[in-house]
Amino acid sequence: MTTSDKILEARETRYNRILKLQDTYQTVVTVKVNYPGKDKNNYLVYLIFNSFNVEQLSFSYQVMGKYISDDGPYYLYGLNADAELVKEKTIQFEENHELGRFLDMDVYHDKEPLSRKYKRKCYICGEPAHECIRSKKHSFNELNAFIRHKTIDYYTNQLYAFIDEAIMIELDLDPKFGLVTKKTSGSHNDMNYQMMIKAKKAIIPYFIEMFKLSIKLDKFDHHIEDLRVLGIQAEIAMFKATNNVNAYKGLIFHLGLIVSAYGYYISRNFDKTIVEIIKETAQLFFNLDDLAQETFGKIAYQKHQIKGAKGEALLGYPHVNDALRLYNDESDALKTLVYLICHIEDTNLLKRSKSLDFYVKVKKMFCKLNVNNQNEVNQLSQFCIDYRLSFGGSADLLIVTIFIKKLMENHQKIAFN
Amino acid sequence: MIYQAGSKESNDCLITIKESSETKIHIDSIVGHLFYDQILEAVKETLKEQNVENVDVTVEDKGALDYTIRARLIVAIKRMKKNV
Repeated sequence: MTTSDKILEARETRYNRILKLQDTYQTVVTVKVNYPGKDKNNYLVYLIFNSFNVEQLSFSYQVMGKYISDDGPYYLYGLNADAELVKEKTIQFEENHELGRFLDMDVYHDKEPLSRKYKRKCYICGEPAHECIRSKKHSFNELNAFIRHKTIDYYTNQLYAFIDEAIMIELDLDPKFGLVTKKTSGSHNDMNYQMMIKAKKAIIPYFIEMFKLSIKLDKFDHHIEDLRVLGIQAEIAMFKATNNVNAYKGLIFHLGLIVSAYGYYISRNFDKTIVEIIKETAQLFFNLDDLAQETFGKIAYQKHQIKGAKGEALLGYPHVNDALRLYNDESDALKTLVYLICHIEDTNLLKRSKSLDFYVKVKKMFCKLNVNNQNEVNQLSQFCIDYRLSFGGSADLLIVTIFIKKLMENHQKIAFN
Repeated sequence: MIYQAGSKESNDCLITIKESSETKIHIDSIVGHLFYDQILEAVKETLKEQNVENVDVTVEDKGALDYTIRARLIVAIKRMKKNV
């Protein structure tokens, strides 16, 4: 059987599933990707498919099925709701969502698809889309380039905004226990707010490049070196922006890992969760025995069995998973940070605590802190500045938590536990 | 007895075929105002290639390409022959 015949067969199978669902449900909705050519399962198709979030449609359904076929991936929904109203919602979604023009949402009632009142226009020339398709007015290459451009722009713009917002929410939190804020450099003589913003601007483009690389990979492990190089370039760009101050090295590590795993995950069909992908990716980058560099993290591990950032990554960010239950929006940033300081192994704090006993004592103070008592928060902040304490590791994970929260809100597919 | 192939999805067509005393072709297409003749030609040619006569063919077309129309018709014919 030729590829084209397989595609046609898959469509007929879907159609029969729709008709069968109509025996039970008043309305059936199909969601599929409108992508030309014979490869209906490439990375662009999945990027578009995975941008669909049924929650943005605001209809309630009785059954949902997800299928992978030669005609690409698709969802079927069975509902007992008025088909015309549902059709209105799908048209609104198609028109408002940036990638909506590449998503096909059909609504069936009485075993017939409802037609749109206004015919869809071709996204290249604006003529009626059906006529362009029938006359093969545009080449595959022309259509594919257009779709690729729009899809990658959509994802990278969003990614940029999410990372930027996550970093800014952390940076603007004040008071913050010796960490840099708009008002104070805290325990850091060598840093300030403006420097952190410069560093942020310097590093984000490298996360975008990591994402763009990982969406196209067939096999992740072959390209770990390419991703690592982008991470190193991000560090160099950061040091250049800060005059050799380490503002976000830990964050480059975490977000580099997570953005790469996210790109790999969101551009294909996976039965695994994103956490499993993150764990596997972390294992490809390193394992606890081969810490190549003489960083404080290595000493902490050898001396105290404190695994720090890498331990958190290898375990698939268990504390971020817990923190996500606390964090709903910006107003939860303080309590989430305090939770992280209390619970994670922060080698940045260990270094500044000078002894394990003091490290444990400081962490206990945070576990007991009432975040709703502004006086207590101010006092502990001053204490941290007096003792030159800092919590870079916890601040990094707060940013990671906010970033992942954004991803979860945006994709119905991503669950982080 | 009627036999069908295809779907009513966008860019597809649903072909219905049954035996008849003479060959009849009905086309209902969303792009019929522009492509009726082409679709009719595709159906006629395919029937000829498949050596099928005296059938009643209905094409409910949602903007399918010629390749799809031909392929759908061939499958519908196969389903009919299998059962005759």
